[in-house]
Formats: sequence, C-alpha cells, structure tokens
Amino acid sequence: MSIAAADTAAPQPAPHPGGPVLSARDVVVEFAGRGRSAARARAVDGVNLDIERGEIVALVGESGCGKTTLARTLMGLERPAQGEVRFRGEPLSYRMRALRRYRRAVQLVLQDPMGSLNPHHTVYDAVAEGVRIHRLPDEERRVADALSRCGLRPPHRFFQRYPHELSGGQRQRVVIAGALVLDPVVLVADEPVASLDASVRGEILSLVLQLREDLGLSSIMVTHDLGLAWNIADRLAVMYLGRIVELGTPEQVFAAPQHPYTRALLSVLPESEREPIVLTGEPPDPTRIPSGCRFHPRCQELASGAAAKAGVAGACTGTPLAVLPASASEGHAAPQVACHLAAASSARTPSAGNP
Amino acid sequence: MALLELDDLAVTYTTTGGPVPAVRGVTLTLERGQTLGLAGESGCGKSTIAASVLRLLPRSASITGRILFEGQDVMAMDWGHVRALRWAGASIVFQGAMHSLNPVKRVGTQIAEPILLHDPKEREGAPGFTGGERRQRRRAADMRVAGLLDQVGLTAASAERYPHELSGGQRQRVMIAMALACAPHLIVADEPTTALDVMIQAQVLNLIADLVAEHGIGMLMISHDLSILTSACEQLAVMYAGRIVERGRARQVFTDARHPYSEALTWAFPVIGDREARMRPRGLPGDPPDPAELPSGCPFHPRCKVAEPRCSETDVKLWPAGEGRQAACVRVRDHPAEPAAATSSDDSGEVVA
Repeated sequence: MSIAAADTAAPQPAPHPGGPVLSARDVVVEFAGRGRSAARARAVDGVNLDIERGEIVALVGESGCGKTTLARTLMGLERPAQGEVRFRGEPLSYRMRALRRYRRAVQLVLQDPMGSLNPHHTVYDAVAEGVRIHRLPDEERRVADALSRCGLRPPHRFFQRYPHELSGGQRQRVVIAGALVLDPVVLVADEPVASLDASVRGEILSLVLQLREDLGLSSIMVTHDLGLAWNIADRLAVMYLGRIVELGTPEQVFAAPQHPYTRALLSVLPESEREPIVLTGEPPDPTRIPSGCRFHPRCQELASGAAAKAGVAGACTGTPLAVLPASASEGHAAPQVACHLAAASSARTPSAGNP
Repeated sequence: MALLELDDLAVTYTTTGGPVPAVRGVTLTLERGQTLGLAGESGCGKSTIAASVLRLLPRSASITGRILFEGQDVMAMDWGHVRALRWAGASIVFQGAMHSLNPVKRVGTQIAEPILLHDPKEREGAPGFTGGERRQRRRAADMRVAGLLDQVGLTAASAERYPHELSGGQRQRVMIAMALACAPHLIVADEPTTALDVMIQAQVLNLIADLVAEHGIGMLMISHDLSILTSACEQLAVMYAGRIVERGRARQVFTDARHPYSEALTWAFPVIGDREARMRPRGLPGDPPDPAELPSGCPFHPRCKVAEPRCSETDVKLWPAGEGRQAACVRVRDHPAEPAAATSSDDSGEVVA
C-alpha cells in the first residue's frame, strides 16, 4: 500500500490566472470573554493571506496563536468581526445554503483520525457521508475513487472495515478520502500528522503532494511542525498572537528568518545549529494584546538591547505594526516581516531583504 | 551496580486471539546519570518495557527474563517493596498530561500525595497521627511541593490551581514535578513532549536535561521522534517488533544508522535546510507487523527496501557494528566495520512514501 511520491514534481505551482482561490482580507475574529471582566479575546487580529490554486501554505505558531481560528474562519466556521474571506474573488456568504455549497469546495482534515471517525461506521459509510449530505449521484464510484486516490487499494477491500481494524496511517487516509470525495478545491488540515507515527508521517505528506499534483488541490496546513513546512509547503506564514508576523517561502524564512520570534522557533529545533533561544513563559493572552509590537514582552532582541542600539526600542513598545499584505507568490517576492528592528536594518541595507 | 538492568526481558500478553508477544528478548543496562532513548513505532513494545520496570503491566502479561532495579529483582519483590519502588525508586512521566492528572483535585494536592504516602513514618505503619503531627506533615509536604514547582519553573501559587486552569506545557511540568516528588533515581519519560509546541517542548526538554544533570538521575525516554531523543539522550536504542534492532551513541545512530529501519525513522523528521527533504517527504511504506503473526526471518524484511532473499529465512540478533554500537541486520553481520550503510545513496531518486 504505497504510493509513488511526487519526487519529480516541479514544486512551484502554476499561478492561477483568476487570482487566489481563497483569501483573507484584514480578518479579525473575536470571542466573547468569560467572567466579570468579559474582555473580548481577539484570536485573529488582522490577517491577510492568499492561497493560490495548487498551493500548499503552512500556518505555524504556538498553541493559542490563532492559527486554528484562522483556519476555521477560512472554512466559514467562524464569522470574522471585521474583514472578509474571499473564495475565488467573491466575498463569502454566510447564508446556510451558500455555506453548504462552499463547504463542499473547502474541506477540513483534523489531527486525530481516531477522533474524527465514528467507530461504529465502516470505512465506506465514513467516506460516503459527505456524498449523502450533498445528495450526489454515483455514491459507490465516488467512494471507491476517493479511497484509491488516498492509496487504499483496492478500495473494495476497505469498504466494510471498521476504524479499529486499520493502522493509524490508514485511518488518516480514510479521513482524507472523506474530504476528497466531494471534489474540493482547498483542503484545510489542522495538524494532519501530529498524532501519527514517524514512519507514517512522510506517507501522509506525500499523499498531500500527490493530490496537489493530480487534482491541483490547494492546502492550508495548520501545524506547529516546522519540518512539515520544510517538507511540503510552498509558502510559510508564522503566526504570533493573532497576526502573521513573517511570510515567505520556506527557503527564505528558514535560511534567513527575520522576525525574532521565527528565529527563536528555529533555534530550539532539536537539529538546529543555532544557539537555542528558549522564550520563557507561555504565549500571551489574546484579551490583552501588548502595545506596540505584540511580541515585545518576550522579544530577545529588545531584551538584549539590540533593538535599542538600532534606535527602535521606543517603537517596539509603543508603535503598532501594520498588518502584512497578502503576498502574491509571483516569482520570489521578498519575504514579509512585521518587526521594527527588521524594518530598520533593511532600510539601512536595502538588499538585506533577500540575502 | 547498575541502576536498571533488563536481562532478556520478554513480555507476552494473553488475549482471546491467542498469545501476543509484545517484547521478545530485550537486554539493556542504564547507569545513574545516564540517559537512554528508546525509539520505535506504536506497537513495537517500548511502552510495555516502561510499564514492566514499575510492574504496571496487567495480569494478562506473562514475563520472562529479569528486571533488576538497583540490583533487586523487580518481579520477585513483595508488595511493600513494589510500593517503595514506585515514585521513590523510579517514576513515570506519561504523555497525556491532561489524562494523567485528576481533574477535580488541585495540582498541589496531587503532587503532595506521593510525598505523604512515602513518608517514612507512614511506611512503618504508624497507627495514627495526632492533630499537631498531621498539621506538621501537611506543612512539610506543602513546602516540598512549593520547592518542586519552583524547580520545574512554576510559581508556588500554581499549587492551588486545577489541571484545566493550566496550559499543556504547565500540566506537563506538573507531571514532572510529581515524578520528582520522592527524589527517584530513575525517571521513565513516555513521550513527554508529544502534543506540545516547539517552544514548550524545548522548555520541557531543557528542564529534564537540567534535572538529570543536577540530581544524577537515570532517565529512560521513550518516543517515536529520533531527533528529540538524539537531543535529549546520550544513548539510543531503536526497537522493532519487540526487539532492539540498533543501539549506540545517539548522535551516531541518528546521523549514520546501520539498520535500515533506524535509517527510515531518521528520514521521517527532516532536517530543515536539507535540500534532499524539500518537497520529498519520506516515510516507511507498510505497517508494523502484527505481534501475533510475525513474518519469518527478520521481522522487518517485508518493509525493508534493501532486503535480500535470505532475509526471509535468517533472523539476526544484535551484532557488533563498530565501536560501542550494535545492529541486528545481516548486512551488518557481513560487514561489521563498514562505516556507512550504503542504503540511501544509490537510490535516493526513487522515493517510495
């Protein structure tokens, strides 16, 4: 049960003439606070993001940084308080009927396949559920197609199996087949491999690449696994406290991370050769977003005085940063970063944007 | 005397479907202050080993071989000794901190529980305490809890919190504080950082490393992530189908695996910046074998991409594979000194995932 990986694939997707498939424009998502204070939590606080056809975008960050909320908003599961989500250029409509149509095109895959599959349903029923909900013809053919696309071949042998009879990797393939059966355009995957064994991880990631190759499927991978981004993502968005703080191709971002937060994240990877910068504390509270740069209370550059030396320490604590524009992935645009220090140093050396 | 010694340990679960050999002859030694990583896929027997050290296996498990903890045979211990061994001799940090903590008890109370249970007075079977004594014991335990919380980087006030009020990383720290409560000589960490963020994972691993160095504790860390084990442990043992298939210094095994299975595990987590891995995620096709129906010969041969015809007949034991390392593969037996397993260079273009 193996599928040939897209090893010969040219990784760059053809830019879609009609613009991005899915985009977020200045999206803000708020949740009502709990308790007496009832401060509203801004889980997503101004995000611009474009996803092109066939593009794989990784959304990385700590738990609580808003990456899952952003993914849910892109799915139409949360309604932005400000800004909008656009699908093929059209603002998303939140009427029941329109949403139902939309959710056929944009499908969700969750982390734990055992949790997303009903243990009493056979593989066939699990995959056919979407077909039944959307009352599509040719149920059996669609299910068989989806299963075999996901490497469960021959599909008929899996129809009557139950989730507990499958291995972890096979279960996740069934979940992905359940998403594919509706011929989606975008796959939103929330930690698709975090609960899988090391050996299975690569296979599921190859499957995502394969689906991009065969169907032109775009994907948003919500993850805290930077290795995943390096493995399969065309673009990488680093989120911190509701904002994208750095955006670029994995080559750009990993070779020359510009945001101090990205640098810290990279430095603590087990294989990193950089001096580890272990940030203390937990990600801060989205009900109380710090003034100025939202990362400044934990920023190692501000703490070490590097920001003061560059003359931006005041800005770091006092001047809010602009929301990053959604970078169109034309050619190799310079990576985007929301940091006063990075802005100051690239202003001094104009070529620093692309070392 | 070694801290922990497993001598040809075999564990077989009796199920309705027949006997299932989960661990099939594992021999290893851990000294005080040493760290050993145990890697492998789910179902390879690594967690069974962890449970067997503290005699936490269910009744359906039959055990052969020996488990020696500080020279004492764990299997032969009477109940009182087993109780003394748990927490005070060796303790376990489990992976799901949410599920391992009692949701309706304050974390301070939970950390204090083993401390009070292992109070020497209690162990001697003191019939009861006077009110003053009880208060004194409580106060001493509270002090110890505050000290432990401080050690793992939490404030003393966290003792008053319930598990749901803490974040995942904080809960994992509470688990570590509990594991340290009775100053054990051995800590078994079963996937201690799975489901934690990169940054929190780094904090927890740093914490564990400091504690091991500071207190001279021995640590057995279990994970499927070779890169984490390599950064946290000196020694590494890779398990497949209930046996150790490769063993050696962690860095050596990680950078130059001699067993094809260990090599496949090392690919699974790419080194960022490695061009070979970009757009080429690599996995290991196939599923781990059913322990009840192991393939003939080398149990890895059906998934091995360098398998030879003889592999389906020959079952290889651990064999010396260079200085201080061993691997269980016929190729290693033939060429024990060959520096690098030339398995990846010749066919790197043909990626099967």
